[in-house]
Amino acid sequence: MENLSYLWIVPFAPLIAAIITGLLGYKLLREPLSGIVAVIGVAIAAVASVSGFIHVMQTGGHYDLKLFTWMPLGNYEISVSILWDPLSALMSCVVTVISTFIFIFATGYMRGDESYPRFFTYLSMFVFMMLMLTLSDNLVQLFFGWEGVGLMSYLLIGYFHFKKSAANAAFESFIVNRVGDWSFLIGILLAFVTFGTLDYLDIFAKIPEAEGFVITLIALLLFGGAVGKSAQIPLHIWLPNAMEGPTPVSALIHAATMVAAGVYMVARLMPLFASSSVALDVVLYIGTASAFVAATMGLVQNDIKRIIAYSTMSQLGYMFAAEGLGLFGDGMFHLASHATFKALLFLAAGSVLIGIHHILDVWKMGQLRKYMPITAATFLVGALALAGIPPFAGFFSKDPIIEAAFHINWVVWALLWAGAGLTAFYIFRLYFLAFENGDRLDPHVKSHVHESPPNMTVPLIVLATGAVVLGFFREFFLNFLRPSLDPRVMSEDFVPEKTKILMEEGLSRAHHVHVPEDAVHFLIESLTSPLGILALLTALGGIFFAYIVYQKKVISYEWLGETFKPLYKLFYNRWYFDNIYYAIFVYGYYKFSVFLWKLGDRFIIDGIVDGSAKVSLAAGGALRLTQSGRIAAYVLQMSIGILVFLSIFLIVK
Amino acid sequence: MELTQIAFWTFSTLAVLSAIGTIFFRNLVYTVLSLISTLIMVSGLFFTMGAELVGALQLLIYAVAIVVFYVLVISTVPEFKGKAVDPKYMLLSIPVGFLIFLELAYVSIYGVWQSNTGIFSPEVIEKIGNAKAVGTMLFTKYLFPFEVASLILLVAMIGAIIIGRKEEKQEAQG
Amino acid sequence: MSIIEQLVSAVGVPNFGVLIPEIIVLITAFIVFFEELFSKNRILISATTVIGLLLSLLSIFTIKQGDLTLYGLYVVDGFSLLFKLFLLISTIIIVATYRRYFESKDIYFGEFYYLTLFALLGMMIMVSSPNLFTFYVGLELSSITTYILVGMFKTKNKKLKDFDYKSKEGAFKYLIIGGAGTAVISYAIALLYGASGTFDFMEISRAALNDANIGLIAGMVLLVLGLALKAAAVPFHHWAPDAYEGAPTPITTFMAVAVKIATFALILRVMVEAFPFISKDWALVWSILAALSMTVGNFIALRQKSIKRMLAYSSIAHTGYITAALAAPTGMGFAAFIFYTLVYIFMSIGAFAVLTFLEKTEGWNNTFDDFKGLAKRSPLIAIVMLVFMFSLLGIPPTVGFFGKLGVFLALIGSDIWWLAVVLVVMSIISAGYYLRVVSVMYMYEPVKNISFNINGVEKSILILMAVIVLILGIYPTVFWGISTQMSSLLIAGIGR
Repeated sequence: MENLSYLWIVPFAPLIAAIITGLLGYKLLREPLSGIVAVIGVAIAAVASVSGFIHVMQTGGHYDLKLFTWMPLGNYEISVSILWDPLSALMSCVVTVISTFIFIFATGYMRGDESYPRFFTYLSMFVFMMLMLTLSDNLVQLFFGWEGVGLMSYLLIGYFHFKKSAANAAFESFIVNRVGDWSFLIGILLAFVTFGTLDYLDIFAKIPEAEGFVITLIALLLFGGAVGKSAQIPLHIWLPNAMEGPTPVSALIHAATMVAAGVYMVARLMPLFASSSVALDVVLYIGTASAFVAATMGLVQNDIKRIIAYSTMSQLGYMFAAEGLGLFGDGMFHLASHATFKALLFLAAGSVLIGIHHILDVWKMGQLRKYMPITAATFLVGALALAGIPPFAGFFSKDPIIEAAFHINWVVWALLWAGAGLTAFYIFRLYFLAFENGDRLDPHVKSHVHESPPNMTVPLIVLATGAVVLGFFREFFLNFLRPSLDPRVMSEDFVPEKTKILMEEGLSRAHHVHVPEDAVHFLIESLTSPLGILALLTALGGIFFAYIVYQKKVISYEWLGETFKPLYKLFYNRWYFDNIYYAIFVYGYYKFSVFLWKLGDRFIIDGIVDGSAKVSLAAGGALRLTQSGRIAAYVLQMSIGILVFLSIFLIVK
Repeated sequence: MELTQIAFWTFSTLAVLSAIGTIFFRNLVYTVLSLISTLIMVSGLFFTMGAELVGALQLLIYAVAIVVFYVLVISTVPEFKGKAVDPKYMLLSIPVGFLIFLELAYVSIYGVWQSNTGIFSPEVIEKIGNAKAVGTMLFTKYLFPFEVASLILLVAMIGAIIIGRKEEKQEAQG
Repeated sequence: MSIIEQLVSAVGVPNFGVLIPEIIVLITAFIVFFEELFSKNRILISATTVIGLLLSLLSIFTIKQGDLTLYGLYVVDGFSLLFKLFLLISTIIIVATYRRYFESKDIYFGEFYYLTLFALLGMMIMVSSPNLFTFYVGLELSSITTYILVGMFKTKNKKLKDFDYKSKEGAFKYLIIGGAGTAVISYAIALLYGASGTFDFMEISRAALNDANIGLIAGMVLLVLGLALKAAAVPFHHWAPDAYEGAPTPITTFMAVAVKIATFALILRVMVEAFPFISKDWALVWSILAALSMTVGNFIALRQKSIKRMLAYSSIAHTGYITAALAAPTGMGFAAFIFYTLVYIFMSIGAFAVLTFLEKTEGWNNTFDDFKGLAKRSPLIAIVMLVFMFSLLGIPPTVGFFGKLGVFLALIGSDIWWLAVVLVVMSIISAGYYLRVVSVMYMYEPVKNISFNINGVEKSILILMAVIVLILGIYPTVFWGISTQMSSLLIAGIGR
């Protein structure tokens, strides 16, 4: 315990960096230096996290450090604190380590931008908020971080605020997230009313005392927040548009960390969710639906970043599905491996954009492998990982989820399996269109294309290495997470016995599933069992199909589009979600307000309640003031008020 | 005793009647005159209760100084005609006012009221006189509110001047 | 004769040491009064005002020991000092915005300055009154001064004739309805004096403990209603929209901030000190008033075209949110009340200051149409306005969230569910107009191409307010601690 108190540095190093760059950025540090300060800040946090990670790996315990009291609320004190257990240790390592590489990449990507210091201030601030969220031991601090990352994401999406589309996207992301946050906030308040506390450990201890449906309600309300933050159906519409931000932002916030916060939150509150099988089912179905729908939307996009954005949404769906299946460890492992290869994909895309001067349309790229070999190779690694080809990380993290789903719920399995095939197809469609295939590059651009500088390629290579080797640590990670996520291993003071019984009930759905934990065994089993071969063939089939359509052009994509026109239109229009929302909210709100307006104008407001000056002004003449009937009406209403209030006391008493 | 009773009823009836007149007269001069009448009757009430000083002050300040000022203002403004209260509101306002009156009357009748608890008992007042008693309180304990009241009057005067002052240019432009 | 001698000999010299802030404000007012007569130097007048206010602000920190002075008619304690501090801070900020606004509208009067100081003095008296008498004169001093300030939009500029007219109309309505409120309060004081034989809050509370008869209760109810009128609670709010809209915008700020928080401080003190033993009764009245204010204020605000008038209704709704805390007469409720009152200062000054600064632009009328595309024309103003709107709406990480959260928790703690639900529902409805401001600023293209005339001082005021709103939204602990402490001091003061 005592030797872990240095962990306060984890969230506060990025904060200090943010303050330094924020205050001195423009005046003193300017271009390279403010980036370096930010990198140092987040690197310190990464080193501290890793050392804490090693410590908790050896002991497997949990440590609750109260840093300071934030606000007393009656008997309960909200404090800023760090709950350091395997789960938060893993998450904070993912956040800080990946952030470090993205920061290094960003020093190259943002070169020459006039608000360079501002960018790094926001980015460091974001990491601070994300770590507050991750390390919290209570729901309030979680919510604080939750809102904080939302705010920073909002600022970073709108970073190019001179672009109208960027401002609109920022606004949309803000509004959509508010919907989720209201749900989240109500969930927190309900939890406070129910349990009288907001500390996780106290809540876990009090779960058996509460009514079952209240637990379900709290879990679902909190999950509502996760749906908004992690861009799941039906609150997913903001994520693709959020790609207006700079690419490192997309990599950090909209792929690796912030959007995964919902997944993390569900795992963090696992005892609460596991105690309610209804809540788990909702998580499962929302996750599955998002995984499949997002994959179909990704098939037909033409914007390089949007394709990856839909893939993020789809992969987050897999993580939620894993949690809904009761496989929290697998969900978190997929989060970690996805963070690695998705950050890699985004950064590679960013490297491409720098090379070809921010042309986003994949139809205007091609043969980039010739000019950018490192970028192309690393992108290929990321794509193979995403498609789930062994021995890359995605295979070891995603395929177990699909395989386990087969034993639990075959509908879920079918959707996840189909989604996996689509994933392989769309990511290789992107790969072939951008890096291979015919020559569609603008000749003017072509003459300038070159490989990116080392401060951009080195992070790519490191992340690519991660995407290759991470999968083999599957057993290590699952065992590591066990004290946080497995009721059979959890210590008594983390979750008491009574709660464990409730949790076991919820998690029993996954008990008969046996997916080998060791990576090598899993690989062997996949290659021998029919289910494993089917999954593998699907992924390879997706890649092959993309190859023959977009590389060899055996089948023309125009023909495909024509043949499957209704489907194509459905996918291209994103299943008409945007249109439906527009119809309901924008148009419906308009109709409703017109209705209210008429009602209010005619009967209530103008005459009595809101005597605006315009009528008497039209009558003219200052003397009319004294004769204005309105004052008589006002005084009359006041008198009625006095009468009513006096009567309450005279008649009741 | 009888005489005080008669005086009380006379003064209060007349005060109420003049107050009603103040509200309902159309001619502004009549209105002001009934206001004077109300104030005089109230000061009469003070006299019957043995508060000569307050009664006298009421008479001096309100009935003479302030109301004379009102009359002066009204007579300098030509053709200033008042308008009767809008009958639309009368339908509601009269019953509401009456009900509030009933409620306050109920409060007055059934409330428990304290008698004088301070050091100025009737005997002391008789000994030292009204003026001294009021003066003592006003210039010791209530000195502060008294001073603030003077500030309020100052502010009101400044306000009247500012709001009432005509802007020369505006006049010139028509 | 001996009685008088006894009385006079018992009278000592008042403790002027604790009155220094008030005395400085009064002296400054008279200095400005004479400066205005003899010199027309505008810089000098505003500098004198600000320096006087700053001195007064500093002198607050010299007061180490509170006191009940002026023969028990004036109390200087932590609560009154806290509110004086914030009254002075907000007045300084508001006065700093005066000159350039008035000059742009061609309505510069030196009178604005010393009348503001007189009104401030009245409010300082209000927050430190332990006695119905002091409270009454303080309230009247500030109210009458404010009536005048509202009506002072007297311009020679023909283009602004409408403003002149609206200002007079607002002042007139305020005067009449405020006068009615004063009458109600007078009647309440008469009833309370009759029922308890005293003006002193503490002695009234003792009388209420012994015998809460119908006279005392009726007096209390009328007093609550009179105060509700001064705080613009529905159904006694009618003066507010017209007065707020008609007044010159810095004066609107002054009314929405200083007058309002002084009234709230007064309300809390009267309720807690004079009627602690019949708290159930006044909590009921306040809860109904709060529910009405939230509902009516928010619904009418939804359909305003002018942002200034919209903010006036939002101010009525905020009266509802704040007084809702009184429905839970507990330490938590009072702490939430004080906290929300204090933090309301910053968001409200900020929002109105934005209007003040923009209004200096030719042809700017504070309508929603005028705000179209503000983000393109002035990103700074748009972003600070966004912060203030979010704070008024109560979105984290702005401090407005904690204001509402405190009230909500206080209500839940006392099991007043219905009002808590009203609070949440009305907050959601209020998003309709606050977010409309934001969307108008960010989602539209500018209609007119106007450049704004905003100098460094004004920018720094806006940034300062926005930063405070955000910092308090992240770390409200200090303010929350102060509020909790004040509320327990106030409760402990029952046996003063």
